[in-house]
Amino acid sequence: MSFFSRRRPARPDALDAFEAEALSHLEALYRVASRLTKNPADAEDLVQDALIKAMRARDQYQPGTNLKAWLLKILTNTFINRYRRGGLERSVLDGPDTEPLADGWMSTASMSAMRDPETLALRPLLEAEIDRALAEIPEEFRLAVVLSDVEELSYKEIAEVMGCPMGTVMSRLHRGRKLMQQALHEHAVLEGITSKTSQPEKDAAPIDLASFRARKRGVA
Amino acid sequence: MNARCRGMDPLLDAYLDSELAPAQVVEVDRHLQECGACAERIALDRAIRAGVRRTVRATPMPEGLRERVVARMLDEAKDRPHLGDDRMIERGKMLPWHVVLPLASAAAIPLALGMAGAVSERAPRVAKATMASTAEEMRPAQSASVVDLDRMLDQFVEWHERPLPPEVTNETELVKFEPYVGVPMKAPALASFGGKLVGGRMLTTGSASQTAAMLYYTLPSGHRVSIYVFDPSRVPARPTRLSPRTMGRDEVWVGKVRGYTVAAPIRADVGYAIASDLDEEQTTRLAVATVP
Repeated sequence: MSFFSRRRPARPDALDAFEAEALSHLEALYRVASRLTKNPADAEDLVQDALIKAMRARDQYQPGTNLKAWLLKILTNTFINRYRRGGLERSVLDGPDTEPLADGWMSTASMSAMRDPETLALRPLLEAEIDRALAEIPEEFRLAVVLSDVEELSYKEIAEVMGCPMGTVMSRLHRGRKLMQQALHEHAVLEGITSKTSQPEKDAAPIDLASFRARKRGVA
Repeated sequence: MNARCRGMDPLLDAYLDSELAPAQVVEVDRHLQECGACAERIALDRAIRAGVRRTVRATPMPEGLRERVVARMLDEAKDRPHLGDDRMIERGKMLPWHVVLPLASAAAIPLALGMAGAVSERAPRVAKATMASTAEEMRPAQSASVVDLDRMLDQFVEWHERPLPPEVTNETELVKFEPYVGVPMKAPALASFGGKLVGGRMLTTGSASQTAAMLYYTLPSGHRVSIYVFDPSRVPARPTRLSPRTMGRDEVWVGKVRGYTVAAPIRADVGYAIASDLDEEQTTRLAVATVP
């Protein structure tokens, strides 16, 4: 009966379709928020504020596009405005990104040992270590990696969420992943899982945007 | 790592992210078969990605977070722009049916479940409506209470704002509604306006004693237009919120209902009503054209 109730109650007893769909992304919003704020209380505030902002800005959502990516963009912007006035861009310029980055290159043996992520003995190591490695890499790398690996957004969607060109996304992902490999490698050495026979490789620049686009051409 | 691997390095990220063109995927695949070092490296990177995914997805949500979020959203929703609010009208203009209906579909399943479960007294009626095959079964009992037109108009506007998914999408299927509406179903002649039928469905007003067919139209300008067909003999009261207007030889009730324009041709045998975000003049024209 209440679906067609004539008078809108002071406080509606149901979310509408748009709101319900937005709410279905609550878990994704929370886990991204918690990787940004590193603090459950702040993450919760961030998620709530992002959803309310999304409700107010729903006219700006382009139907047919990825709603989760749109919500994550609002969440990211809210985070930047509240915690990082000046934005992500500057911290990239000032941060460790400017330091030369070496590959955390592993011995064949260590990689063989780590190759299967489901190996029981290795699993706790990877989880605890990944958690820490993620927390320690620069924010903009972490966000790019999480948006790509966990939320499975495309480069283009990540570029929209982070408000940067696609080339920057690829660079952040590349560097973020290199740092992850490095951190996990160091840990593996410390744990005696691998010997330090590996030779650090000079970091190769990620594929540049022009050639990337050229390669992408021909893909529908 | 040789020069060839160095050339591969920039491709490997995009390879794992499924962002490479097929030709490059083949190129990388071939290299991985030949090069143990790069294959190992890809395997490690895959393991780390899987680990990141698993670790981050395992992030525990604070207890009660969902409830607190829903409560805040509901609080916010009471200020949600709705009928009668100018912003809502703007939004109506921006959301064509092909956009609104998928959203409506998303909501349809919980709605249906809610109806069947929460209102048990009503469930048999819903089941019957689904299975009914003859007009006799479907015609509302003559003793059922009549619904006044004002209340129906409110519902028409509500349905226009939040449409349910269509049951039929083809004009030839509209006759299926006849037993339910109790009047002949003829597709309104909106071709001269460029109007295109998107679909139609049956709806029941709050008291369940009055049914109406709702037809979803879209105009070339992107405006949505909802047309309702019902049995006017069951709606004796004249609308208090619409004023009569004459256009040519036709008379139409027209006015604003909660921000939307509603028009209903004054006509004895088949009841029509139109809800749209167009102005009264345009809506009146549509209403006149609607009558077959």
